[in-house]
Amino acid sequence: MGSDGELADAGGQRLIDAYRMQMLRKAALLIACIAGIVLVVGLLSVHSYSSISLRESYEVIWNHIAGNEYPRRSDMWWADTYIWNRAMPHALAAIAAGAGLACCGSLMQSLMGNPLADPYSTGISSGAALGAIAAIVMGVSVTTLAGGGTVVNAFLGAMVPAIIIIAISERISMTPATLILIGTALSMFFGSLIAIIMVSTNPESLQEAYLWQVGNMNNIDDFGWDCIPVMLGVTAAGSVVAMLLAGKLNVMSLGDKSAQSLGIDVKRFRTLALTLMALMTAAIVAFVGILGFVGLVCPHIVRLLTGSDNKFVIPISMAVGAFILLITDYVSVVVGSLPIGVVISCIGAPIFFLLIVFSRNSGKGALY
Amino acid sequence: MDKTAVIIVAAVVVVAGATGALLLLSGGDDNGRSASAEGIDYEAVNLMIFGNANNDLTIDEQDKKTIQDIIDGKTPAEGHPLADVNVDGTIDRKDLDEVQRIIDREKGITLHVACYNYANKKAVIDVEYPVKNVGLYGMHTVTSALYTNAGDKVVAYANPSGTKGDYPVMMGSLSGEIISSGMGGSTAIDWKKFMEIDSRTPVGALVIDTAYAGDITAVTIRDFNNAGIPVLAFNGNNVYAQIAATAWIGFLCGPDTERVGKQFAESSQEILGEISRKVSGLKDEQRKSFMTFTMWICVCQNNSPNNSLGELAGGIHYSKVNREFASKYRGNGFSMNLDAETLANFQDCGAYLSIRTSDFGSDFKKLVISNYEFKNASMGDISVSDFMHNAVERLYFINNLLPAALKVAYITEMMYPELFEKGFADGCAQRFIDGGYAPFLYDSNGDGKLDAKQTVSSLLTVMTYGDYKTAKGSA
Repeated sequence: MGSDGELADAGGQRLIDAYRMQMLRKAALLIACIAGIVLVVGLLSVHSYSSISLRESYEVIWNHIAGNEYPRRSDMWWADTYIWNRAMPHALAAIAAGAGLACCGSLMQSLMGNPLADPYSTGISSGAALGAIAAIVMGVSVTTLAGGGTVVNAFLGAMVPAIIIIAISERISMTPATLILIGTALSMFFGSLIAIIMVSTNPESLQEAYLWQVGNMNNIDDFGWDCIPVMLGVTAAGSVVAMLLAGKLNVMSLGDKSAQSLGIDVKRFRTLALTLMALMTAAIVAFVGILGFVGLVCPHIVRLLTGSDNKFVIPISMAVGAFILLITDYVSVVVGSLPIGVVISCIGAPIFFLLIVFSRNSGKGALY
Repeated sequence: MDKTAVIIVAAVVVVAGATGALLLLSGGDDNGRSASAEGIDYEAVNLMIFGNANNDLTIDEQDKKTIQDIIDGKTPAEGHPLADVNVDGTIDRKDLDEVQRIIDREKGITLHVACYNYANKKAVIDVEYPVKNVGLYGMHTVTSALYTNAGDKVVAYANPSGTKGDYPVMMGSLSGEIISSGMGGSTAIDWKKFMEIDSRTPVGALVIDTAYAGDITAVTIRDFNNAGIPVLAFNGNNVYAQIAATAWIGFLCGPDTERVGKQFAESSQEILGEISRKVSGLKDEQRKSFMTFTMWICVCQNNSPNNSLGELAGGIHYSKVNREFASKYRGNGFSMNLDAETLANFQDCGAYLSIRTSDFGSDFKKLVISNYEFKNASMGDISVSDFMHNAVERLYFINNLLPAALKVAYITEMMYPELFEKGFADGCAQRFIDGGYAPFLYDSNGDGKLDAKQTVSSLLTVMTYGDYKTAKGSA
């Protein structure tokens, strides 16, 4: 490679400038999301204990991390208790869920070569919903641990369609479109079982089941930090794997034949990626229900702004997903009566619509 | 790179599985020692504090003697579960020393209360004596505290059935801030406000009705544990548990309230005992059938706790005499599916008991007309008389603010006039009025002192159809 001086012609310089602009854009988006996350965490903390200011809320969080304690049962002690045991788990759950679903959405869209693919395309959401609703309505659950029944049922239910699809794909060679169709069929089947359960239940259970399906933070409200290790741990580990797979995902997006010709064992790779996505998605929906929008739309937003290289799309989608879900959670908490899943659809869908319609380079980086 | 990815995915599976297993197997936060609560009759009217070795309503020298007899082998430990004063699993000299401290009412000692915890499980909760600042959640906790004259020790309360503003007379002695956000009747609890109150006035104990235990999340209970705030729960729907709670709330709050709480529990116990003796000999076919309503005309289902009043009064719930009713009203809540035909097939019930909450001293005439002429669009836009058809004459409104034993007394007198002399229930009411309980006192001249006593009629004890006709006639 020559130095910049050797690429002195105008075309080369423009290329370099365009590349630098794009890298700056990526960095700016990432930094903006991280800054936004920090700000919203502070706002959530202030809302949770309103007698303190934004600055004090950061002080409380910092003091807690540093191990500095306030006089027991003083106003600041309660602020620390309230923020650390309520606002922080809320924030971390929203970050983990947003990041995880966005990561899975990026994976899914690249793997399937389908812009409409999302983490739930393999029927995971319906399986999770069936498990959760069985616990809520019929009291059928694997564990008797208070509150754990719904979570464990949802996790196991989410894995069922994923395992079916992975098992089928191991035995039969299928195209991505076929995989998605099978996922759709499984969703419809589980959906019919859910409908049978819900038509015969009482109104209170029906409401609880519906709230779970639209996505909510009730488990986080009720159990706080207990929910975080699995969500955050699986998301963190899964995202590391996703990053390791990013290069090959770029190749997969060229199509199966092209990927095979470039040395990728497509079937095995797809199985690995589906397993990873199933675990990550199941670990999230088990706690917060079926949160839509994030997994489908965040990767597209990032591609529209930064291009479609998965080495950047995946981490930046995670940051965007975390930020969007965190803001949504804040709005949901402030409004008080709307589940987060409803808020995210109300806010996110119009924003995405506007982004597509008014984007100058609408074809840039998108899969379509 | 694929191999790395596989290894990491496998690690993720292991981590998720291990964490899941940990969650499955972990017992969760117990908030109280559960094992020691076994063997205790939670439905008995006893002082449910360890040290009450002889299962009465106080802790005194008699308890010390009982413990000594147990240690000496003269009395078996069985039957005296509260004799293990320090709750260490054995009854020995240490328990004698400990009970002496309780007998002396030593300030700062730790009392062990046998009640329920936030998870609705039997537990032993440790409380420092005396409790200076009390938090209350639930109507029955509020009434239990007020009937021990502990209203001025309350710093925070939440009552989904209404606030002090809704019942200014009955709750006149209640101090403390309301912590339920929203209007009276809301179940939304603002625990943040409770914690702000605690930061100014450290709460000694929070007493909750188990019916609302689900409103306290695991997160909140952990905060209370970290702050050292004991959470004591009792079954507010059980009449005997309500009475027992009055006794232990009174005891915990100090000698004055202990005396009042004990007197209240004794009176209640005697009244219920007399009723039980008279009605226990009745055969099922002799018992009067009843059904219970709440919120005017919402039918309480077969296993609703509201039915306990009629049962204690000697009645037989209508579900036991009518299979169609039993089939229609399965459950332990109440039914809001109302129309004019709801009771059309159930007109032969002996008594229809509607539990209403009416503040003492309100206008009786106005209230009885309002009750019998109630009509509300949210409840099918039908009137009470349409709903009741010809059975309206057997509809009785019972004031929910009365002590439980008094409610039972009025119901039983209505059902079995042949067993109870006329005025039996009024006599019980007068006994409570004479007891000096704060809810039965009111400020007669606006100087802030509760200097006047209610009368039997101002308690709005029970309203009958006859009262309604009389009120209409004179209206």
